[in-house]
Amino acid sequence: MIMVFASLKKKLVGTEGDFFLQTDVEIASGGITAVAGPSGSGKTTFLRILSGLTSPDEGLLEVEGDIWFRATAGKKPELDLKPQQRRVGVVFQGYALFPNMSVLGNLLYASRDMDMAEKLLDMVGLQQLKHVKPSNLSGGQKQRVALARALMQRPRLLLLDEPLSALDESMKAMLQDELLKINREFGVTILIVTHDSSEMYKLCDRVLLLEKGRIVADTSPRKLFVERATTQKFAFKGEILEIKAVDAVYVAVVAIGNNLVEVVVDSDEKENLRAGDVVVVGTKAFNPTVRKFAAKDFDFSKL
Amino acid sequence: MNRIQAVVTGIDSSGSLHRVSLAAGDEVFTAITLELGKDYTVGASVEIHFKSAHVALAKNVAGEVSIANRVKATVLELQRGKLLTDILLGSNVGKFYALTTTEAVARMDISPGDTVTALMKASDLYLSKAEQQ
Repeated sequence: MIMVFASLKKKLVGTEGDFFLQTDVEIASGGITAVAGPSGSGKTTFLRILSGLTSPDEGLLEVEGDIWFRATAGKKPELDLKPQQRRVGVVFQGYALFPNMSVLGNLLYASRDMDMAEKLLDMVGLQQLKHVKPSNLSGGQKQRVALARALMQRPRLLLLDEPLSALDESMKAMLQDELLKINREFGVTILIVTHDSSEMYKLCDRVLLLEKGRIVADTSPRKLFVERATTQKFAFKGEILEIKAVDAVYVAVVAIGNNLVEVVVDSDEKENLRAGDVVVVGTKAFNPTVRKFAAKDFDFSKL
Repeated sequence: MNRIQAVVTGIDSSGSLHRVSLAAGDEVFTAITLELGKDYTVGASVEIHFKSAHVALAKNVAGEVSIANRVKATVLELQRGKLLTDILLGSNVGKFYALTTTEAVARMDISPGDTVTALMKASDLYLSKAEQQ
């Protein structure tokens, strides 16, 4: 069943000139769709348009057969529902909780539905903290409150804009599990803006990749990240920081994300490489070793 | 991952590159590695790790081969796939696996009970400190 039909156009101002955010997309009911792409590609604007916080220039937005927005080019919209008229929940990276209200108060402000509030507090594990003010909560707890509050009005569509990007790895993993639970329990269709490929892989059944306002890829996370047409299954983009001669070989220090690794390069490889080069470090799927993370291992993700 | 208990018998270094000599029972191993922790010293108990895909097999091996590590072994079991076969080997230093093409198994007529030589390149061996008991 089609949940969202969005054929929309909006002019955006970019650092390299104006461009159009242009979508022509159908989203099925009940799934989790990632909206990915570089900064300034229109991801957040797309979510704001769906939620009613930003109006497109023209197009049609239909959710479960109801029209939320309709306008023809150059004319005033015939229909443009206000955010509160749309059954949509929104969570952004900042928590935007009311500081003077308790956790429960924040939830009830969205809807005076005590049963729903209790159910959501149980679900996100905040029952013990329901009378606490947001300033006394951790980042993960605040984001749980924001998530619960967004669900109070039983939205059909839940829009999440990098909701987990400020959290550490273990908190992220817990909230990812909760998002899956929420998706299953309420059948709510979720769109999530994220840069995190493992998050897309774990949560999403579909990825819309935006580039300069256009959807340039619309596929499954597995197809996008794993089943690439290359024999190098284990390949990472990095930058060479240094190449030094050691004995009869060369050792390159390569920055991959936040990790620094040393790679032995042979003289033939070394010919074409120098410090500062952006490279792909790869090996066949047969070579990497996999073992459980041990406390003595240095955890770069905590830097 | 295959594991063999060993003791460090020698370390040769050239800049950040190290050649570690190891003894496991009567067998001698050589590992080439870039990083080497401070606690890898002569006399230290370590584990040699290597992937089954990095083990080559030879039968009636003759002539010179550059591969540093050779272990006499007996074929115990074969797990045959269409393309690859996982071979369980028994040796003086314990059991370990060799992954090879099913084609090679047929060509060499490898079957349980056969004596073979397992070959591992020095740069394919990993070292880790044996767990303290």
